Amino acid sequence: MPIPHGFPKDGAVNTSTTPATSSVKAHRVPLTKIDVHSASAATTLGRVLPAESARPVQAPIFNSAL
Amino acid sequence: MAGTARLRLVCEEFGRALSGIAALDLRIHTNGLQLSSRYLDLFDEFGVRVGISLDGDRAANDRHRRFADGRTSHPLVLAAVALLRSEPYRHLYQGLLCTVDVANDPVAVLDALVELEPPRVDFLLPHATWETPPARPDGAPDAYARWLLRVFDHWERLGRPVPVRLFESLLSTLRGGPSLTESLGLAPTDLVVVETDGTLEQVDSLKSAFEGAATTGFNVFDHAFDQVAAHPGVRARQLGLAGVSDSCRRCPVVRSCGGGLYTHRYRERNGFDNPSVYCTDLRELVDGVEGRTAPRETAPELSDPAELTRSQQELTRILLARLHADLAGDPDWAHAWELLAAVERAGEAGADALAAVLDHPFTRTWVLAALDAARAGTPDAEEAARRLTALAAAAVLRGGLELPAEVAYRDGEVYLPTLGLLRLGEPGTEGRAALHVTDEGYAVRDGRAEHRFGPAAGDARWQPVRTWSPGPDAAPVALEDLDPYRNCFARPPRLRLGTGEAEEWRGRLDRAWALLHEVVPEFARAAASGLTTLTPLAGGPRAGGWGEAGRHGPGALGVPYEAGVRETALALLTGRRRTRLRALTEVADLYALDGQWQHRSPWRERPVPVSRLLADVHERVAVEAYRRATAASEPGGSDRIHQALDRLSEAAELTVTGKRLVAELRYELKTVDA
Repeated sequence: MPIPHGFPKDGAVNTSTTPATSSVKAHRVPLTKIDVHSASAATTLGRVLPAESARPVQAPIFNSAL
Repeated sequence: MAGTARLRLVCEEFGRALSGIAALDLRIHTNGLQLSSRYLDLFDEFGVRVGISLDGDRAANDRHRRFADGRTSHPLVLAAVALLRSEPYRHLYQGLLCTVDVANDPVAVLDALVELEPPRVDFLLPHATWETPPARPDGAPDAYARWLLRVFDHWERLGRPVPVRLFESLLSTLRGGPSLTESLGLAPTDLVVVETDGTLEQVDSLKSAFEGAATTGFNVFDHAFDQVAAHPGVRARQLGLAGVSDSCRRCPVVRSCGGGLYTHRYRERNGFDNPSVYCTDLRELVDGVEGRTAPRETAPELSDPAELTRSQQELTRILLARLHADLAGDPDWAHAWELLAAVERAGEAGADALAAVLDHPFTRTWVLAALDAARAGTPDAEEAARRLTALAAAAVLRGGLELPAEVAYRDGEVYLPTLGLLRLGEPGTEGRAALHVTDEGYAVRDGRAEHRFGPAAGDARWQPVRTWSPGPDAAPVALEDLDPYRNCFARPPRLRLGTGEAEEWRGRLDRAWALLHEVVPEFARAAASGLTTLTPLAGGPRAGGWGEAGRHGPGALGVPYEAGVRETALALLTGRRRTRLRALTEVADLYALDGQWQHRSPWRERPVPVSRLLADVHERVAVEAYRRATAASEPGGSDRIHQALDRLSEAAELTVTGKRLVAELRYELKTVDA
């Protein structure tokens, strides 16, 4: 039986008061399926783990070619 | 020109020489006139991708690309593109490169290119320098910007049917990302040309600046690539901001244009230490693209608290998955990870419970600390596995799940995130224990006996996390004085509060909260949004009595326990402002190249990086509102904030999202001033 939320003052807590949990969880990638090597994960990690962000180098191609 | 036999030899030699050393990416660029099945069969065999120069529709093409006798080359180019687009060659189709001529109709040019379904397109400004300026038929200094912006508008109207390198580069840098082409931005350019005679040269476009501009004096027979990499001309392209002219360094769009193509900066008097000869065009182009796209390109987390929450939750999950990549080989960690995965698979109750324990702000603290340790070469897999097991167990208990909830304890106790501290043995002992849910709470099996505990009432073995209610309609906030990872603030946390102390603190928090809602209701509502956890800190209030944001998830705040009501109110207000800005910077790009420029600050003696100036302003707007409302405002306080906002508005580091935040701060200050 799930423990109900909203205990009296001295009770256990509900720290999941954030609003969007139920609306987004259906679209979540399961923890075990997260690809931490994907480009989007690298961008996400790069903001908080500076060591993960690679030196930004321009695409190695001349202006006069594609 | 080379013929298929020679090209085959080139492809074979490159492949052989680089086999096992580097990935080989072969591309060829051509006007298409010679392109036939013989060439394309060869390119197919070696995976050589083909780009074609085409300036647009027939009228555009014929302006510069006629045969010597005046005949049009357009049908031949179209035939080459048609062949390239057909099977089995289509996968080799790299795209179309179009040189701008402002005499052409930009809409017709884009339509003609799009009709050929290229995988990508780019527009090139014609080569020009300050010595040989570009043609400007109407004399306007921004003719190229206006032409390109008309292309951009049409590209937008068509729904961006093809990636355009020039536009995508601008959109990337405006968002805070890297530039995507050699002709724009500050990212280093790693290019060297090996001529067919073996000489090593700089990029070919330099040849249009002056005779010998691309020369390095090196060749493949006598010199290593490291030597050419050290050539001053090549190094100049690696210097980022230091590699552009002084006026470019002070320009707010330099991150996007990067001073333009190196070649276009040339002036005989002082070489390349100039803005681009297209400077006016580039400024107008960057501003034009920004003005057209800023509302859409602004990170949604800035204006939508639910989106910020979602992104923060995703960040914690990705960080945890990243930690798993480091520790997956440890058996204890692997076991704990499987327990956590089982919780997530246990339907909606499992997913909700997992979300609750992952949202616990000090889960982030733990994951970051564990990643730091792994990165430093000193991973503590045992401690990490212990915490992960406790996390999974807490989720099982919260969700009332029929899953194993075994925890490892140390020093006789285990902290169950979001729930409380459970004593399982004498101090100094360690071991494992199995927990489960009962009708009224939880239980742990201890030999034959079953000890029931929690969730609400404490006993000799169970200390629950207490809560405080900010109001009748507000969710309870945890008063977190148990989690070992709460020690992440600038000052140490208080040890577990006594019952009387907790009650006193709740009283102070009640009064501080009421004061905030009375004097700055809008700011108080914003401060309440997403607040889940308050940690009492040791010592009295610092000068100013401001609250603490540490290295934790966005729901937490540290408040000095000894602070009085007014100081507590200010701590809640400023601490939440700091937390919000930190949360934003963790999931959205507000600025790029932070620290490359130093800005004068009205509040600090030495110049500061843009991140510091923004953080100071973000906090002081709220403080100014509070001080005004409590008749304690500082003389000139608002003026100083305006000065800082003016500086931020001109800062090259800010992205479209950062600029939007600055605009919001201006609006907030305006309402305060009013």
